[in-house]
Amino acid sequence: MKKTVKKLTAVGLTLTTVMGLVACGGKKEDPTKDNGGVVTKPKTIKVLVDNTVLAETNGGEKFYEYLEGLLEKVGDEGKIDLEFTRPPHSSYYDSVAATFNGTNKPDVVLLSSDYYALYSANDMLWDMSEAWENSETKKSGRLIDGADKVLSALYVNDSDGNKAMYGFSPYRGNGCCTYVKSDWLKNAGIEPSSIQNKAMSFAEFYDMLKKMKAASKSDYVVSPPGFISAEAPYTNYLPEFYQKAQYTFYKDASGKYVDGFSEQAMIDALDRISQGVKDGIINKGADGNSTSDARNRFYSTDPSTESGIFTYWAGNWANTLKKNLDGKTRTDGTAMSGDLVAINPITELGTYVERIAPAWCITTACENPQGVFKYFIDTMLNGGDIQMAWQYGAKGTHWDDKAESFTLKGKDGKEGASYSYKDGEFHFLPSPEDPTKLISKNHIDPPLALAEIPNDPGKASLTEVAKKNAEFFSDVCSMAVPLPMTEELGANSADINKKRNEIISKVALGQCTGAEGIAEYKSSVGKLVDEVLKSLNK
Amino acid sequence: MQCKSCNTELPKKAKVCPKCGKIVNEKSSGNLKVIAVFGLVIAMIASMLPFVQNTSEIKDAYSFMNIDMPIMWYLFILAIVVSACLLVARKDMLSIISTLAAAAVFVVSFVGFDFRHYSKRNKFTIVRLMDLIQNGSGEDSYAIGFGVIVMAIGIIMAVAGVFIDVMKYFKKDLKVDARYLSNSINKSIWTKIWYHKGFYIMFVPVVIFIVLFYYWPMLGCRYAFSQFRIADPFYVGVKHFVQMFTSDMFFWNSFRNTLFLSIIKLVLNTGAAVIISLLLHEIVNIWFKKTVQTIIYLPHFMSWVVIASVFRMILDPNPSGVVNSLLLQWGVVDEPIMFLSDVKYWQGTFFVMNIWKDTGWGTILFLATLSGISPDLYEAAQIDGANRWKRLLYITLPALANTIITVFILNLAKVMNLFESVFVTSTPGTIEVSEVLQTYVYSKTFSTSMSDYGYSTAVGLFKSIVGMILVLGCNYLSKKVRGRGIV
Repeated sequence: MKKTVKKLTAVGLTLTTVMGLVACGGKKEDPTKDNGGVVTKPKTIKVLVDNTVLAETNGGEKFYEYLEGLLEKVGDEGKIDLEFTRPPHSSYYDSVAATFNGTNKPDVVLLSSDYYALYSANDMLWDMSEAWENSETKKSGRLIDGADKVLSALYVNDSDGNKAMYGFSPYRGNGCCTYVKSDWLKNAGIEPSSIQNKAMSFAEFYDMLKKMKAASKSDYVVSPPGFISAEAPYTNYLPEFYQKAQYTFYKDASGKYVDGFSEQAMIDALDRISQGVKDGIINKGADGNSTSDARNRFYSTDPSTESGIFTYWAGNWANTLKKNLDGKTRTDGTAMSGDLVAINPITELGTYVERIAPAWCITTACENPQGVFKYFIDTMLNGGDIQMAWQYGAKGTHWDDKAESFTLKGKDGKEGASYSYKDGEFHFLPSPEDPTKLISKNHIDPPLALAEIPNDPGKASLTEVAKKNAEFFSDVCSMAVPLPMTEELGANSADINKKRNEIISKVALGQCTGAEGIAEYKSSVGKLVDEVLKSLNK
Repeated sequence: MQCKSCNTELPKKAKVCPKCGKIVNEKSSGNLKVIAVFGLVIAMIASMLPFVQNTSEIKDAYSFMNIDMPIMWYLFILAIVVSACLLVARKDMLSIISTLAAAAVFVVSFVGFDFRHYSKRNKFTIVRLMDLIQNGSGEDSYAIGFGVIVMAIGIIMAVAGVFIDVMKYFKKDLKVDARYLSNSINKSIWTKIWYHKGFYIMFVPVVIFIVLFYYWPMLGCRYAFSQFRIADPFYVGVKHFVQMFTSDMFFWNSFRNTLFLSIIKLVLNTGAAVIISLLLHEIVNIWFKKTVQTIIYLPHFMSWVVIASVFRMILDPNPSGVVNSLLLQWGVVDEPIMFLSDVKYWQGTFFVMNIWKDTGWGTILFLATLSGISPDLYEAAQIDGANRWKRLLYITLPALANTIITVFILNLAKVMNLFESVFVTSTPGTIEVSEVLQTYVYSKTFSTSMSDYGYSTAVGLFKSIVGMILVLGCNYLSKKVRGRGIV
């Protein structure tokens, strides 16, 4: 009896629990919501964001409180409780997927272009096309030229192939342009002004690289973060070499989707990269490098590992790159200069590519999507306090306009810079996270905002370098074209991209020619590519 | 009459031994009916396999996982669990009833209940399995899936297995009173728990931790049979397994690489550790020996991320890289070698890095064994005229052999767990030789926006099954070689 009870209880409890749990998980929710067409002010908005919004360690909580205070004054009376959730930046999209799998889905989520297409294609996002057409932001007339282009890229397919706008980007996506170090140019006998505002041909560009290589002690001139970028637009770190070659599927002139990687343009591009590596122009060790590796090579004070050309983000990064070079001395005693020339796209390239901006989306789990759109998304570019908060952070924590003086915390034994401001003068405050630096922006990069703040007091605080570079990039870029998401593309993209990256590396490192590489690519993943093309052209 | 357990003379009509507590005239409960238990496990697995299958579209399949009323699956599971409990409690005949009840639930579900046909996530239509088999759907025809066959096998085994006691053929009569085989006394389990309550309380957090972090995640293995993108997984039968075994060349490539890299690494690391141990054993100067030991142990404590970064710098393929600049200077090579980017060199470099990192640590066991060899043996051999080589060959190596085999077997069980070292050292160009199953699952899951957790789970499940077979195999080998298992 005792043994029976003992065994029966132990095994029974364990197995029932385990087996019962195995069978769990069939609950379905109806995603359709209707609030009767009346736009009411939401009481709570659950927001899932990445680190592009000021982090908690950098006064994020103060920003949330400040934004809540500002939203309280908008429209109907009542406070909106903003519940921000910020998963770790590196695993943001894993956390987004996990959150969508759970029961506590967010009302608002920030998604990059790939994930935006995916989540809309799976009917997880609320169609805001109509809300956008009737929005205050659209009616305001403050949208910048080109805003239409940015927003039109946000019209993507749902699961039935109907195009609609499922998210809103309050800023442009930005992109990469090529920076050339002036001191390297001078050493090579090239006057920086001679390449400024000039669209070189690839031959001229390559000739410049060769001269720079000959005049330097470095193993290379260009050290990119890998031979191909991990995300769209993939070719943006070596644009002069890839030119118009397409890494992935795209719609050709006839309106049909084709595989850009199999085309002659890619074979030529790979051969150019291979020649660049062979000539010591491109870093042989770039395969598998991260962006920080590439930045460190650009900042390197060791003449044998320093790079002279870097294709990187435009706008604020122009200023950051300059700041990180100015005042440094190389190990051979020569001074480094932060003077960089952002060159025009070469003629074969035509334009730099502007990526599709991350979009703020309302999920189908949101009970009051119209309310969330009106009070949360439509106010982001209101041209007033709320836009100021999204651009610069919380007043009193990240920026202020009162008369005050402060000194930044010193670094490397040096005293920090001192600042003094008059009453009414906009100025950034020291970063709560790193008091050696001033805050530079919040979520919306001011030069990239889709609508300007009239008489923006913060505009004066932006550096001339960043402003000029943002304007320059805006003149020489074209929008990336989004790729619709299909089941076949999603299922096979990891394998196809893996093979593409392998081929790029092999050709770049001289292990095969471009034509041989593409032939290997076709023979190994050709079937998968055909399957994807069939689904895209359905 | 004497107690069968402690041989104490029992009073007349005693039901329980007053000394040890054993029940008098207790009937032998018999052995566990292993075949019946296996049958129940098979029936349980069969509940996730296709009952009805589209003859041309593998993912169009139906099982308990897409029944419209999941309560029937829960009932089936409950009946199986009850059967298992009854078997464990040695109420074998009663278990037949619950097993047949499970079979009845299966038949009723198959014949009388609606199933969901998913066209995509959250979009489904209702179908009847019998209608599908008889009339098909549109141009599609359907047939009985192999889940039904497996289910039938499982149920038959669970019922027939009750009458077959296979364990008796494996059990030996130990000819020892069972009381002396453990430190337990013939008291109830509750008395024992109360007696050792302190230990049980201390053990509770461990149990919770193990259940939460080891066993709970295992329940996700059911997703291997579903398409799972973003949310709301739905049943696709054995589509992932068919795809994995028939058309996924990356899977087979990574499986091959996993075995190759792990086994060669194991042989090289063990061999290097034996050689280093033998060399260290010969060192007489203790200070020097300890210094060398400390130096060679240190890399073991470094993270693979750090090691990869250090080797990347040392092996930089540019002319200014440490190794390449030396090779160029000495005229060994004309062009810098791409140690970590070229398929020709990656594997060799990987093995060298592994030897550098883990050989020192691996010497500990061998040095311990070597220090245990009696000096008398060496002395006797010397007297007999054996030189250093002969002593190594006939004394040291035979003494080490058992340890070498043990280390080899213990590590063989872990060959499928290759991830970190490969992940941080491989580059896109070396995928062909460097991708292993764990990095493959990682890239399938995290390198694309539309990862199918279902497929990754199927690959992971396969890896776990191979791992389990290796562990059981090694456990068997371990028992053979050293008389006890690996745990």
